[in-house]
Amino acid sequence: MRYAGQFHDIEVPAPRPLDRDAAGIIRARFASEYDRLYGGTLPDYPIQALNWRVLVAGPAPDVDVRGSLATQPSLAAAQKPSRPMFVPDAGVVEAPVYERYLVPEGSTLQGPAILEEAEATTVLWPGDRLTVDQQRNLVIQVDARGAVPAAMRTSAAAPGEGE
Amino acid sequence: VTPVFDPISLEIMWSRLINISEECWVTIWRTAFSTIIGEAQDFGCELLDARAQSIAHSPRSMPVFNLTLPRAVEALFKAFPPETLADGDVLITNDPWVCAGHLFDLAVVTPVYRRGVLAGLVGSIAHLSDIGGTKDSAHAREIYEEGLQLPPLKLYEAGRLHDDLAAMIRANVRNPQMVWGDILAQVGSNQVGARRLLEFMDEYGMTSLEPLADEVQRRTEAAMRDAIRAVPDGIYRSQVQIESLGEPITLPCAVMVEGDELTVDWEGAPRQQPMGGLNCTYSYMAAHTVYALKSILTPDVPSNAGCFRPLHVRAPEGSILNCSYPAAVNQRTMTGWFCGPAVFRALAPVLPDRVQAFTGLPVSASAYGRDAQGRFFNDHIMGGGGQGGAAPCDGNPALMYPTSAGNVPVEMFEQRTPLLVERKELITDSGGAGMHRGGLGQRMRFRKLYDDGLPVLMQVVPHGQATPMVGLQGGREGRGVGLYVEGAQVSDQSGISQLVTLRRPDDVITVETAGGSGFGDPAARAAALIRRDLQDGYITGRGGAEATRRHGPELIR
Repeated sequence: MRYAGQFHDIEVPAPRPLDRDAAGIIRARFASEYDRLYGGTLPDYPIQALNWRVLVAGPAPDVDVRGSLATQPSLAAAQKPSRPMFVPDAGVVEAPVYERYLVPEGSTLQGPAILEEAEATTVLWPGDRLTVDQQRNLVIQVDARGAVPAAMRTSAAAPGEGE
Repeated sequence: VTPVFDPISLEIMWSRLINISEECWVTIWRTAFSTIIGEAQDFGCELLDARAQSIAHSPRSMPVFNLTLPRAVEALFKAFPPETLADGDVLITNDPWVCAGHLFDLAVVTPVYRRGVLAGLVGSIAHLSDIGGTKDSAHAREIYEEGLQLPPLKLYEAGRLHDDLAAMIRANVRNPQMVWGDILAQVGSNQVGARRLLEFMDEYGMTSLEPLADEVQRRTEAAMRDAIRAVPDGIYRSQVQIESLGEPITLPCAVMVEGDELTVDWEGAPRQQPMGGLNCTYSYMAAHTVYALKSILTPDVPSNAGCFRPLHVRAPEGSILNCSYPAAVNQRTMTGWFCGPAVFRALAPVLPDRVQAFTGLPVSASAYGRDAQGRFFNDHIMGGGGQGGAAPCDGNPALMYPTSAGNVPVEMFEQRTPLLVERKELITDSGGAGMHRGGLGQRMRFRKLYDDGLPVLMQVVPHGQATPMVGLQGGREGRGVGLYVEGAQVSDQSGISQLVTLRRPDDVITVETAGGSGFGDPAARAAALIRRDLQDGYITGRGGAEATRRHGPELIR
């Protein structure tokens, strides 16, 4: 909920049952939460409710996502051109880049490396070890002590360059 | 007895104060009604001790607002001596000579009391979406035309709103519901800060903030003095030529370093301008000047009053950098935004690793009118220019420097105005060549969405037209700014800002921000960086990027 014209909203619990009296209760709860967060209310301003969140429970289906991705023969097919990556204490290293959805089940990778997908980017720091499990989850063993192999270090570039 | 702070406790307490100010910042951001505050983030929050000395501010605050707020508090104290204030008072002013240089920027300050004693102050300055006055700023001759002047006043007295003042403000601004909502966001933010400050003091059993304030200010001052001492004594000079009322004018900058004190003297700055609001008040000019110095000298130290004690700024009274009342000042960014670049340029020979080349200045575009339902809108969208190159790296594209404003999302602007943003794109080859090139400027294109004949008044303020800014240490200038109007009626031909009325879908405005200037000799640019720029489409083989030409065709393929 928010005052009409604002950009951000806050969550207010709705009463049960959601009957005729609920509007007044919601309004009062909004005012109280708004005052707690923001140090005052605006009584003359109209209020908007943008989203109604409902929690619904049902029997959990048995989902198997393994078949939803095309199987790929090799890790090599998942590899994309490498790119520079800034590692604190090590500087800029040239990190291999993989297309996440093409990395086959059972693959293992050693950081530094980058896995790209449409929704997110996963960064493996030096020393991190990645295994792709049967559901194609990325399971990472984090090891902050890992060092960057000398061959991956580049001296030509510095942080922030080129962006 | 002077309490001794161990370094760990001090760091925790100092960070807590910064965090309180950050919570104030978030409060305004989340409760504002205008795009200029709620999305473009054109505001800043600060905590001050009871002596009006700043202690901490949100890292996301507008630098110039943090630097001018202490001066505004001093003026408020002059009008309302601290011993006459009471718990629940809220003070305001938008006086450009003590505040942030034009009437849009309103300071809202709340004194915080602990057991009846003034503990400190919580305050903010925010750029209101409107403050009345003419929309045709380029033709304003005096401040009286620029809007509602609010000298130091009490908005609240002991917790009670002054309804007369509120009614007076609301009657004098466009979209009063929006403007008043934003002012209440500032009031609420101070309230949140006051609560947190008192909780903090209770937690540490502090009866006064002063010992802690003294310690953080002392350390910050010492860091600044160390940084100044590391610069060889001397006078470092530069000049920046800018356009003013269609004429080129020169801002001469002298940075004088003597031991652990530094003075910037703008002696020789041109007289204040009779029209167009291009004049900077001392408060505003000094803020831009010391902001650049702070960035150069102690970039890693959180800023507070101590930081600025060794820094001094002078400019001739009655000049464009220290104008006298009642000069018009509304568009003072057209002049003041060049103070920082002049300081960078002056110090480039002696501190080449600390400076950045000229950054293409942001363009602000605002749309005002009534939609088909009769609702008023008054929304801003800002576009940054390319950042200047520097010793360690290229400039970023589309940066709002020297402000910390945010890019207003196109979707948000389109939802609130009857305009279509047809393009918002980086301009290829716009970064100035250099060992490290300038960042890219951007192009924005606005079109009236509906063929209903309803007018949308757009004010577009491009900075730095016809004033190419050469880079530093051999870097080249970036691409300049551009403003193109198709079909629509242009009401201002002064060349300072454009007031354009869009009525039909074939009325179109295109704005281009400047690219950043380069740093260092373009011939020294690493081949790998040129290849990457080509790959990313930031430069073209055929285009104007000098570095590409210099490096020959084998790199272009």
